[in-house]
Amino acid sequence: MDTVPGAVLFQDPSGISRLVVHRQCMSARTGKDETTESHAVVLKTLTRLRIARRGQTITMIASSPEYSGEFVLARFQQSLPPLPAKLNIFARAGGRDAEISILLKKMWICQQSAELKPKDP
Amino acid sequence: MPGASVVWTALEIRAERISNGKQVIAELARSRAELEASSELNFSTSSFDELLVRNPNVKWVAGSGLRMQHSGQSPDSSTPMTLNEPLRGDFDVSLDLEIETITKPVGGESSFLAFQISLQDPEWTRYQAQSCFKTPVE
Repeated sequence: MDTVPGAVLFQDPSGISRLVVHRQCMSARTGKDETTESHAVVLKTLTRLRIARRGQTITMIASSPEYSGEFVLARFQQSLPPLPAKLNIFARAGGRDAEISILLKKMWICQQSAELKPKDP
Repeated sequence: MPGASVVWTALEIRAERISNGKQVIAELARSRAELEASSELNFSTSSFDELLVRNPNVKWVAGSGLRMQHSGQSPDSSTPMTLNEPLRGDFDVSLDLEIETITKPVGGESSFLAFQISLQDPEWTRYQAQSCFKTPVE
């Protein structure tokens, strides 16, 4: 299923298309900090996040049984060439008494050329 | 004959349902098959320490996976993990996960899991997908 109830598609002047998925979600932001493009969605049933780059297009996809499978979160058209990219994952609990715990099960990495290399000892 | 000239400055589309995702996902699936190098990291069988730089609060649980935890009382602003080597050219990365606990944050704060790439340009341009739980300011 590729449709999302209550979704809003909009395109800002920079040409970025975003999909706001949930009424409770923090709105997508173009940043200040201006170099950050993000999309946020509240999904306690989230089961997968995916980022794909093809040329100058970056696509973010999420999976959740709440939405019957995979759906596109956002697509970004880069103005930059496809530079090397570091992959980061992080969790943050907001506020003194807040807690967050995520179990990371599997990661698939496909790329154009270079294989994953072990870090230097 | 009279005429008219109109300049469109913005277009906003709102809908109860939209369906632009299926075609995009199918096209990505086709082009993913053309990517040459692929790796599967099954965290239930290994912590893959040779490939990852992880915060001490990302703990390997044999048979389950990597448990990433953060508490609001932690001195760190977040719990991070990074792939050691940068991704090059076209890529496609998927992360399977289970959200075990995400408690309600205090007013104005947000708790989130972020999946981010940062480009190695002078400004460290970042693109980020995040699952977020935000409470309005009370």
